[in-house]
Amino acid sequence: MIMEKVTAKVFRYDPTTDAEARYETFEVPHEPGMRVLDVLLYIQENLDASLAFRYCCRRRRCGSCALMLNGKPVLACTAEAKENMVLEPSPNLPIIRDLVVETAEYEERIQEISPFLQRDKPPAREPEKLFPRDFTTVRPLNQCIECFSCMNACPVNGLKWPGFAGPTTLIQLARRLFDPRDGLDRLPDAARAGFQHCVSCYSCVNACPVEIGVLEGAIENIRQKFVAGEKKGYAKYNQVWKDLVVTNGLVNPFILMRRTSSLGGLLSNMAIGLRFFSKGKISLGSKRLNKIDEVRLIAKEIGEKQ
Amino acid sequence: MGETRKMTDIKKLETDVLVIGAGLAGMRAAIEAHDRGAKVLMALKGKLGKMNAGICSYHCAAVGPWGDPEDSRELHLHDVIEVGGYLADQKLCKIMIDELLDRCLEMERYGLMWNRDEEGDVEPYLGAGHSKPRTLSTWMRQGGVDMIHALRAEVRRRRIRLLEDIMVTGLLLDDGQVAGVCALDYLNGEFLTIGAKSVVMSTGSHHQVFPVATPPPEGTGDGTTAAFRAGAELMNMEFAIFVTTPAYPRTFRGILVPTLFKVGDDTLHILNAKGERIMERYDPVHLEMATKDVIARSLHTEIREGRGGGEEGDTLYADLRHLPYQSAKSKLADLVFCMEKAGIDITKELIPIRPAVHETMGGIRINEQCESSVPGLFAAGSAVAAIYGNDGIPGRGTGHALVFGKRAGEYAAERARAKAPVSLDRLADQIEAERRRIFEPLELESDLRPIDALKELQAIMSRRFQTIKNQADLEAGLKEVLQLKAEKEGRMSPSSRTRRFNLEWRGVLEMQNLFLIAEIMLRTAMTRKETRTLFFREDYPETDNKNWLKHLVVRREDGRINLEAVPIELTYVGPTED
Repeated sequence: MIMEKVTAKVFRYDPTTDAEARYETFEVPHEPGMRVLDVLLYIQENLDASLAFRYCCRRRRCGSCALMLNGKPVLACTAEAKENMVLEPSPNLPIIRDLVVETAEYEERIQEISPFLQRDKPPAREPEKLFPRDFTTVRPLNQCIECFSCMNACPVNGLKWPGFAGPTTLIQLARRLFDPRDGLDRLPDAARAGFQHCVSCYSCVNACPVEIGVLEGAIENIRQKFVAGEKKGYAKYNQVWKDLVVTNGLVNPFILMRRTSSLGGLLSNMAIGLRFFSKGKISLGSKRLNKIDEVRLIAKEIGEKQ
Repeated sequence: MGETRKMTDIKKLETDVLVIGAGLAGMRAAIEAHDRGAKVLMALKGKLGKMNAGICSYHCAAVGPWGDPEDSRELHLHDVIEVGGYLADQKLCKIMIDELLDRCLEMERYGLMWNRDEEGDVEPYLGAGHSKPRTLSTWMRQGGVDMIHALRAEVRRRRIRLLEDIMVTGLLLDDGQVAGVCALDYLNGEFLTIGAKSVVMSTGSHHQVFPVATPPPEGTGDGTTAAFRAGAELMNMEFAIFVTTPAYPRTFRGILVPTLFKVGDDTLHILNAKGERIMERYDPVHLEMATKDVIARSLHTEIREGRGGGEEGDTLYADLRHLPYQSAKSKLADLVFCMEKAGIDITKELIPIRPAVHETMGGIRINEQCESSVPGLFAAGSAVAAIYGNDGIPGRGTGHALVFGKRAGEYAAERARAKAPVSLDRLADQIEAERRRIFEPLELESDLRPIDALKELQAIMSRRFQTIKNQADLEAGLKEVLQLKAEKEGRMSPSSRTRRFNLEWRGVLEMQNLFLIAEIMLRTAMTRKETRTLFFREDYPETDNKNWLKHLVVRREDGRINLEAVPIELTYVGPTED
């Protein structure tokens, strides 16, 4: 069946004039290879010129056209236009108008982690010798376009909790941390950015339009660096995490916090903990996975391989 | 509410150096001015590191401790001037070539890494038009965001103050010198003035007069026209580089389909509707590696002679089927990625392609200090009249942006240091007039929309200002543009009166710039009665070194567009024979 038209239900909101947001539905003739951005441009040029959205490079380089398509974060320039679409602005951010959001908060989080190359001393001669093999970790991370799609997908970021700076920030941190030229001790920044609160759900990986392995490429690498460096607290954090997996097959966040945090840390997280507890989202006891023997077997094999 | 706004409502800012635009040149200028102790403000249309042509740039050419030991700066200079059809500003080209090495090395200090071989040494390649391998690229010659992100990191390191989502609408002059600018903050719908001792225009080019262009849609010539209105000289306005881009979907129409680009041992092939490889007709020796002017003219000729396909007969076809898939995918990454997204299997199918504009070469005329003919107004990047003439070799745009970006920042800071703080108080009349002009569209009852005017203007330019030009087309184009302008200018209004991120409101102001740009482009193209590299006049098919080894300089006089042909100084290199 050839699609003749697409229907886009578009989020509309002008905070300076509207009491609340509304959705408007537009019908747009379909064309071969049509992108979501084509739909938006058609609406702007033929149906409603007042529609506000951002776009620029049209090839997933600038990340300006990030939005939500049927609840999932995408770039309008690369996402395929679907027969029935709901188009909404990125969540968790103040709305400027329609599909345009205020990203200043995320940019400030990046600013906080010193997002630039900081050398101890300049190279002895220029150009210096640099080996591509030393940059294999950094290379994919350098492709991050700061579209914030991973921020939009990340459930921990969605909690709007100040202890977690979000996946984009961690990518930007990791690209400097793993640049062999960089001399800054970035682990304190990584801790402040809250890398340890990532729940490894892969939402960021699925959302990334430039196919950065956010989790394994950035966050897991930061974790490993902490373990290797025996940074106070965080190596322990990983050890406790592993012990819980091997003992119970489950990671009970309450026990994890109790065994790894200082008293101050525990108190500062008390409010969120109580909220989770009251909603039945965490328990105090040690539940155990039914097939815990299999988990232990896997853990043993991994241990032997290493 | 707009009517009751008083001067006291105006948001007033002040700085030493104001940098307008934030591509490679603007960011480099801001970094330099900051490092020289100036207070710097950056005003940009859009968000930092996201709205500029540099977002796709990944190579830069420089003679350095790499490549061929026989290579020299003299040779590089010669190459640049020759490719530009001897229309280069040779003094500026010399400066560029002498400073390129420093700028390239500096990019690595900023966190970039130029492509290395396995031994760890910088590995240049032989770019088209270069006589030696001296073109550096980022990782594995794959396009990327590395260059723009390296500069953005340095702007962030310095925490240079940014004014994002700002359109600068006009320059303020005090006694013939730049004193600042007026601007629209279209995010908040506020009018503001920025007092500045020096202003750097790095607002990019003006390709939006054409319906399809590879650079970003923000390129509406805002800086170039503001400079012109303030009395600055423009130059090279008759030149534009035409290329081809995919025919659909519209989103991907900005992606360059590169000729002059080896993939393994071969290139992509360009076919006409009959399936003939067109370059066999025009340059059987070099084929798709022929010089850019030969290719541009060939593409246009095929279409004009009816061998194109598609509804409008302007479609040709890029054939990648014979290329090894993996190398095509890594070398033509954007194109292959986007075509696959659009459902085209490049190993089995042809890519339909149509003409598009890659670069407009015109802009503000500058001297060695990047100063325009208006004191205090500096320019860098694509807002400058291309110093290399009417064509450039790979890596020229980035090199030009970095070298003159740095110089603009340097001299802008120097001027600021020597100057007492500016006061805009006595410019109240100028400011009030500009405020009225900006807010007028919101108060006008009209159903003329900027988007319709833009489409009409682009259609005229696409019809009348093509690769191959003639007097009749250009004259008809000028008449049509002036008629459209008379119908629309001062009469357009946005469909929504909101002041919050109202792109239509911004669009009305941009249209005034685009009308002016189109008029100047047509007038200058009409005046240059010769053919030279990428500039083709079918009614004047010969290169005329006797009469046209000249720059066309444009300036405003008594409200009119004044053209002057200024002889080119052949300081270093001249054409070998006439």
